[in-house]
Amino acid sequence: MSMTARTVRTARWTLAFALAFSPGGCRKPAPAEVVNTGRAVTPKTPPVPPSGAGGTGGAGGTTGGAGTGGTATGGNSGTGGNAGAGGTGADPTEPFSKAALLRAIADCAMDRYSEFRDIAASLDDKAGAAAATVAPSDVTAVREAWIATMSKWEEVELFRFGPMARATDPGGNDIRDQIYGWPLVNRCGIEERIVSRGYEAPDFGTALINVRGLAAFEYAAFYEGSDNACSQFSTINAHGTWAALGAAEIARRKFAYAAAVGKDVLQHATALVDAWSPSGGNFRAQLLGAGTSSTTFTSEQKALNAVSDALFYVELESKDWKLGRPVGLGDCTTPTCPEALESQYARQSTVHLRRNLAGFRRLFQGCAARNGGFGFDDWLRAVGATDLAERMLGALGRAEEAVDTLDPPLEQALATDPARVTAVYIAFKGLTDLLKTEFVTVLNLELPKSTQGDND
Amino acid sequence: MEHVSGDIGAGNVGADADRVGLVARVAASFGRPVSIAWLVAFRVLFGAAMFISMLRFIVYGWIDEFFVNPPLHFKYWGLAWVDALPRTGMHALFCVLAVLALAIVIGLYHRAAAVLFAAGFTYLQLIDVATYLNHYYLASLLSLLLACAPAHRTFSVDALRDRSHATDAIPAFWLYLFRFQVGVVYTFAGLAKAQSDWLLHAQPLRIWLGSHTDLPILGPLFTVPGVPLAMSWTGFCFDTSIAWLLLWHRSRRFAYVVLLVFHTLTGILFPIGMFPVIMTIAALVFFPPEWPLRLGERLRSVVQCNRAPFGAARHVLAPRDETRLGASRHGMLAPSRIALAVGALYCAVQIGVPLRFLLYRGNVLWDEQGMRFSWRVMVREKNASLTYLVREKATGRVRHVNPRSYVTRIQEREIAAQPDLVLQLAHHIRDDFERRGFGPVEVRVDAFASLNGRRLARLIDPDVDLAAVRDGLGKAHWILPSPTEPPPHTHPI
Repeated sequence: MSMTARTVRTARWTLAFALAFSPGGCRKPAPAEVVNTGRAVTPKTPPVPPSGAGGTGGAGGTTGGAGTGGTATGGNSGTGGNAGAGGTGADPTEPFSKAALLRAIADCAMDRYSEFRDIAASLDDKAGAAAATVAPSDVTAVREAWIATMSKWEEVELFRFGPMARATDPGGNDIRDQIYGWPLVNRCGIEERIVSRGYEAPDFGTALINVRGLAAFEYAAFYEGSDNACSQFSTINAHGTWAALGAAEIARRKFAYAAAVGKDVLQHATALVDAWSPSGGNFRAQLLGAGTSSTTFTSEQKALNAVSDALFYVELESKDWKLGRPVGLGDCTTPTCPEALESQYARQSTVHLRRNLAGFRRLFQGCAARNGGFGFDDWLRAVGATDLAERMLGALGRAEEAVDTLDPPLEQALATDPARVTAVYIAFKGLTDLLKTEFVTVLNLELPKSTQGDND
Repeated sequence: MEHVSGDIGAGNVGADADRVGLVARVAASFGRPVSIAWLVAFRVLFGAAMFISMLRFIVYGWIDEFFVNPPLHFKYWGLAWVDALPRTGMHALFCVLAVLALAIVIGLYHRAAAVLFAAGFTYLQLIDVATYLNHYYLASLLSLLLACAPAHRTFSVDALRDRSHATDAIPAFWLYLFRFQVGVVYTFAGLAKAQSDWLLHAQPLRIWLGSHTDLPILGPLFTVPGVPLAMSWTGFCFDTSIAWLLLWHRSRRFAYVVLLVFHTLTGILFPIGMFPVIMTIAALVFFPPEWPLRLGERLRSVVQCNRAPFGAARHVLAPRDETRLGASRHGMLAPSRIALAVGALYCAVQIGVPLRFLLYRGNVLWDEQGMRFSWRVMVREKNASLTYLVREKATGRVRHVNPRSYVTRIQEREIAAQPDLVLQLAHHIRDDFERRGFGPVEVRVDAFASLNGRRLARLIDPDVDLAAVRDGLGKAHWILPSPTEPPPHTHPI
């Protein structure tokens, strides 16, 4: 074959394919190009109405009923309070829908955040008073305030989605870690700042999370010893600056430290409420607009997936970290590892577990009075998995019972009756086994952090 | 033989074949010259798809997620020596593969590019079993076939650079081989659905459709009773019949339209990445080999503002195509005996491997023995909860080990439901504990799984010390039988 013929043939091939794949056509005008940026310029549906001015009880709209526990999301009014009857409740006649579940969850979360913010404000007040006087009554008051704050927080922990979640999660802004960085706690780092008065620095709020938050507060407010956890090579020991303070000054500075942490916690608690409020970040609209106006969630399923990720707190944090590690089931070289307990100084570890389960129940079963309103159990029932819903509630009940009957409390039981602690761990596992298998399967949810990549 | 098939034309195949028997007839049929156009189109489109596929890995951060971050990779049996490159190497490899894919598109140093791409892409699949996907496996196979086929003989930079090897025609052998490969994928994917979960209970489709009820137009349909079951049967019928419908010229166009709709829908509904694109491209091999030329002619006629109607293009092109093919019948067309033998072996493997599950006599969706490389696409929704119980032999102390201590969350999701990978991690944990001075240990597992929404059941015998179990290809008796009850009748809402 001559060179010319081959050239002609190749040129024809080229022309054929160029024509086949050229965008031209017969000079018809190209259709208007639609570029899907993933952001809805014009919402397909009207924007989600903002929460009622009085709180999310009203925001429930058709489901809110008499919202007695309304959350003040836009202003300073409204003290939140517990989710009373109808606070985040649903109209019992309303059929289940994912949208209704998302609305119930959003309202429940906002109530929890608002309640926490209010309690954190009280903690801040009392910490300020204790720092000023170090009087026993003020110390007692601040400790009680911390216990109350943590009791609420441990429930809020289960609502770690949206702005409270990690920055890598949908809508996440790491606010949880700013408020409570446990298990990341650096006692030596706190003590170094006590010596240097680092808590008075204007940039204290940007210090590492392991020296701030409610865990740091616990150490500062509850630990009465005048020793420190730093090595001999640490500046405060090598230069003797810690010892030079004396026990009284150390105690005074600890409360000053607690006061600084309290302010920081309140600031982030307020940021959390603001992030959800219509006048702030309005994350509520992101959740409720899933699949329509939301720029964070392209479908209701994705939004519910983000929420369901939060349920897994009871698997890793509660079961493995708060129970498994201390009782020696985890990576622990000694028979038990009491140093892994959550509440080292206030000895509230059992209460914290109980509150975790309370948060789980609110999210799973419903947030209204007597756990009415929509929860994930309603979703299970709606898809025909009533049996699974009942079994999960049964497993949840058994976990709660195991915690409630943990007497003496965890800190003591760890030394005297570790088998009882192991039994609590097993009870939690009964719940998390269902969570990781049937629950995610039936509802087609993804396990947390496992959605990367393609399938099949 | 070779001189017979080498010169053979479409018209005298039968006459020659009568003389030389069945093998000769087959060989003659395989040696029949066909237009190379289909292969060139496949090369260009598949190369482009692979280029996009590599870009997705790079842009989405999957290189780190799948190959760099995991502290542990799960190995294929007998291939434990395959390991990931350092981070820079992995990123460089993906860039190189993207460039190679582009080289395939334009036909630049095609043979080398395709061989290297096939090797590189296959290497990626061998690094970690936990990343196994059917469509990655298919891409590896198609890359391999493309590397062997003369896809650069025209419409390529290679053909421009060295015109001595340019040709219009290739043996039909290649066409049949590609058709066989694509047909195998669809057929086995269909046969995998011939079970009660899919056909009687519409599971796991019911579960999956529940995630898409807010989809415009289609979403509400999924909640209508009977629709999931109808879709299950549609999927089954599609998979089992599409290859045959594409083969039959009368149903081919209709079948391809159905195929386009099917893959578009599955692409929308399920996170299956490039799979619909790859299958849509691959299915083009069922069209007459000269289809790109005809399409080009038609488009040209359209560009020339409808001066030549579509029908005319066919008449114009057909005789010219015959001329081209006639001019190309020079020796190279007949596949050698070795090529035929290798091709036959390849086909036998492609049929035998998906059927190996029959040897294990279990529920492959449950025990996963014979699951990989068998085109069981989208037939199971399975999640498991896995805890390792590591017992120090010396002290009797038992530790509960969460797999997440060793693997990423993505890996955990994959391995927890795949017993052979559970075993691999058990061995790794054993070695790690012994390395850390805990002495000899026994490793048992508390493993529960839910298959297609069934009540959770133990997946692995909790009494078996997996540390003492050897990995292998035989029947794994430490895997417990699958639950016998049917999956739940859930309904999408």
